[in-house]
Amino acid sequence: MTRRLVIGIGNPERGDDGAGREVARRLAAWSDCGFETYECGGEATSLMDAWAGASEVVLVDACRGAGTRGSVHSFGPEDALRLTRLRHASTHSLGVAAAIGLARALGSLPKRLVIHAIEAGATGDGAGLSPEVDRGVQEVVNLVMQDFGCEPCHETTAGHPVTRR
Amino acid sequence: MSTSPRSAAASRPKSIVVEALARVEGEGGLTIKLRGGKVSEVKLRIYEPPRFFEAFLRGRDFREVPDVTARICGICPVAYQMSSIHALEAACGVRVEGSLRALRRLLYCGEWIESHALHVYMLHAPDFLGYESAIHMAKDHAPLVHKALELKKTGNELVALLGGREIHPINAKVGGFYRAPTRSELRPIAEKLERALELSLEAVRFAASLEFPDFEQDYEFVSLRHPDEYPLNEGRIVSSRGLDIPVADYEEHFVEEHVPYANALHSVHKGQGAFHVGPLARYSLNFDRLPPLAQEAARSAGLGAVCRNPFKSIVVRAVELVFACHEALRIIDGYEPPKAPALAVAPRAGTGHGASEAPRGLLYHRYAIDASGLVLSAKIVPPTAQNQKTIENDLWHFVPMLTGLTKEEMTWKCEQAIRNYDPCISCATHFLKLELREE
Repeated sequence: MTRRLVIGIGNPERGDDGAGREVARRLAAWSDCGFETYECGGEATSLMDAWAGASEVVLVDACRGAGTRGSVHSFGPEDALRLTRLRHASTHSLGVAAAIGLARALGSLPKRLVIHAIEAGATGDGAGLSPEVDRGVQEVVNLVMQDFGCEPCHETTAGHPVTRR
Repeated sequence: MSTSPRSAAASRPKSIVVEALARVEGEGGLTIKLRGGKVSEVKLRIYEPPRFFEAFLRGRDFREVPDVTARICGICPVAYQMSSIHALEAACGVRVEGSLRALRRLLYCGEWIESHALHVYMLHAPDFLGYESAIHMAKDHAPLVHKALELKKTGNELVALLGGREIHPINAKVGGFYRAPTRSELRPIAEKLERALELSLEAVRFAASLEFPDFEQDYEFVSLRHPDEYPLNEGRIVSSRGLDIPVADYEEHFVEEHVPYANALHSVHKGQGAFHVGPLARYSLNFDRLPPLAQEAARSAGLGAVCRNPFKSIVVRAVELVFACHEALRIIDGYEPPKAPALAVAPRAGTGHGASEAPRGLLYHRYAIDASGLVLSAKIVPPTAQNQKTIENDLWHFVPMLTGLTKEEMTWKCEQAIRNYDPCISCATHFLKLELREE
């Protein structure tokens, strides 16, 4: 069975840096979409561990320097230039780009990997997204739902949104 | 070392520029000028902007400091937390003992494991095996990379277990921890540490199999030394030239100097000059404090009780991996949860000094606080700042050994010589540009 996973990366206590994790949180509420969600800080070994055994993986992280605040940039692991830019937005020495590079070299890259990067604005102390990034988060949520063939409907059951597949 | 001699005219470099030296933490550059085949200038240029941590700690409550200093570095945040916590507890007249002290040491073991595993296999090994990066190395040496990742993961998990998360931990505080683990919470990590210990012994054997240049220097080694323990978070500051002082006297003996080409300060030992902190110094000053298993591993790797070849730091780091795994297991085995996760610490006006052994070397902090606990002043001396002059000195002596090499080969070797120190330029003030010029 195909294991599908959405990984939200970032720090929810640092403003817009929490964008990736917020995507994972919103998607976690859609209980019937056949994918798992996972949140982490973006450290390479944690990432590689998280996606072990998953054939379809969506990575969502905040980025800087790729467009206007809240803009969404979607690409695959082969897009070296954008990965380099993604690396520059990370505070960790062995982050997302290293995880992808190592996994590719080791033959453990998921069969399908999609990366969504949301342009961050303020990343100072404290939780909470800027309105632009909040809209970017919802855009990525919709993109993932569409990509996985899940359409949100407006009804809810026991507090959870119901999905149509 | 291999020197592949070539004709002088063909091999003499005029200028070598590496746009970005990878596998170091931080941004800086190095210029080496040669005149008539001799080195005429070596400058380690740290152009990463100053980060002003010491300034923006002023006016903060002393209890906020460990969470701020943890942000100085993504690789060694525990070191920054521990040195600041020890300094602030000294200022407040509090000493933490027993299980809480052991837990701090355990947290520190986690950081050493993740940092050393990263450097030995992913940052330094590619130099010796001839690869641009660990990613390039992984294609041909997948088992090595798998071992590195497994070791690093165990270190990460230990830091996350005690620190709340693997990067920039949040559970350490002045007086102890916000929450102490139960015995049963530590048990699963012990199994992983047993495996990590095996992997560390393999790492020593791997590192010992590498080729090293014949390059020994007469360093003044400086590290902590403790009566009973291999140093992590406590001890007197000692040197290979007879210095033996309490941490509070650090600034009487060591001074930081501005140099025009770097945003990081250069440290010198007053009246002595450059000195060397880090694994080589710790090991050479504390071989007798290593557990027999680590001593035996070092000896079987061909090391004596003192190691003066900076290229062999990769072997020493692997020996320290053995120590860190062994020590972590020892602590977990004897762990009794503390009655409270932290001591109550009331502020009082005063100054406190703290030093601990970051993976890269001695990390000194000093804080003055007022009676209400507000920070009046802060001073932080990271290991890479202390090693800068020694890195330059190494290059003064190492570059003449490289005259038979091409520009590319010389550049590679110089970068390797810098990475011997696992420099963390971010701490000292992210790429290192290397420029080699012949005039």
